[in-house]
Formats: sequence, structure tokens, C-alpha cells
Amino acid sequence: MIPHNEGFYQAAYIAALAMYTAYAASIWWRGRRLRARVAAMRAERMR
Amino acid sequence: MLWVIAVLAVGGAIVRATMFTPIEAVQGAAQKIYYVHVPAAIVAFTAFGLTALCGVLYLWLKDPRLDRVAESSAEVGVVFTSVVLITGPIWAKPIWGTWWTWDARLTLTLFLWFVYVGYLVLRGAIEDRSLRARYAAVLGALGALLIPFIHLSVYLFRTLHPMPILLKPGAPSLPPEMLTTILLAIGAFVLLFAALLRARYRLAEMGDAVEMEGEGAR
Repeated sequence: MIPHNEGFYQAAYIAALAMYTAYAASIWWRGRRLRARVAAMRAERMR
Repeated sequence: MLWVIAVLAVGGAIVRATMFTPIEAVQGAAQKIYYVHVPAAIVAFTAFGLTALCGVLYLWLKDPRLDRVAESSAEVGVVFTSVVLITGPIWAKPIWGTWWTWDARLTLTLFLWFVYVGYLVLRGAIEDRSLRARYAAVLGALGALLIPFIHLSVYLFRTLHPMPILLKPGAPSLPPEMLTTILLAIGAFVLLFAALLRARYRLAEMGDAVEMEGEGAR
């Protein structure tokens, strides 16, 4: 008889996808912060 | 473009794994964790191998691009190893009856994760760029020595972790439908790795530019 343990694999897939998505979002967010810093530094130099 | 291809490939691999791949008779649906767990492990080892290779090449050539690839690959590798360390226990619970056991492969994989988290912490702790790159290169190269031990740990020690059924001498011991799914999943997660690595490399480039501009302003 095949055991019924679908919940485990669904949890694993959700956890894995959540981690990849969170990491991709963190790269995007850090990039945005760096770009803002570069813009601020350039504006400071122009003054 | 690479992002779109990677996301579509991962989506396709997941749809195939969940809906078009048969359920294993002994383990049940929990065995489908294999299609995210094993690709994550293969990609993590590749990422740390790349960190080691770029580290060694950096020590030789002193090219900052190599240091950036090493740093980016280590960070992406830590994410993939985290996925291995999370999906593994979720698979272990219904099959072994426990979330975690201190067996050789699991413990060594956890050590590998700590080594590369240490690598990233070390990079954050050193201000001097060339010193940071040199120390990180040495740690990155030494850390990767754990990888062959992790792969061979199931042969060297008595362990609960099953023997490899894909990366082993001889043909893979998987039915054709499952073999196709795992190969597609590996391809898809390699594409995801490439997309994340490229994005992280650009971030490292930008970080270096900000650092240099800051140094110039001082």
C-alpha cells in the first residue's frame, strides 16, 4: 500500500520556492539600495 | 532573458515532477522531494567548486572579477545548501521517522554550510579589499575539500542516507520517467543558478564601484 504523505512533499516544494524567491528579492532590494547610494554620492560630488 | 528562461524551466520541472511523474510505491509522494533536494545539492556543490576554482585563480592572477565570481557563487551556494538542509529533514521525517540524525552525510553537509556562511561573514569583516579577497580565496578553496567527502560519505561510513542512484559508477538506477524528470529538474535549477549568479555578480560589481568611489572621496 502506498503511504499518504503528500503534505511533506508539498511543504518541501513550498519551502524551497520560498527560499529561492526570497533570495532573488534580496538581490533586487540590495541592488536598489546600492543604486540609490551611487546616485546620492554623485549628487554630493556635483555640489 | 536568462531569468525568464530559468523561471519557466523551474516551473516546468515542478509541474512535471508533481503531475506527470509516477508516485514511488514504497515511499509514496514524499519521494517527489527528490526532484528539488538532489538538484539543489548538485548545484550547491558546483557553486562551491566554482568559488574554490575562482579563489585559486584569484591568488594566481589577482583579477578582481574572479573574486567577485567566487563571492557571488559562495552566496548562491549557501542558498542552495540551505534548501538541501531544509528539504532533507522534511523528506526524512516520513521515511526515517526523524527530522534529523547526526549521520556522516547530513553532518558534513551542515559543516559545509557553516564553512561558507563563515566565508561570507569573513568577507563582511575585512575592510581592505585585497586582503579580504586573499583570505576569502584560501577559505573558499579549503572549504570545497569537504565536497568529495560528502559525496563519498555514504560509502565510507555507516549511514541512514541512501546511496546515490544518479551520480554513481554505472547507469542510474531509476525508471525512465523518474530519470527524465530528475535530469530536467537538474537542468532547470542549473539555469536558476546561472541567473542568480549573474544577478549577484552585478551586485558585487556595483558594491565594488561604490567602495572605490567612497575610497576616492576620502
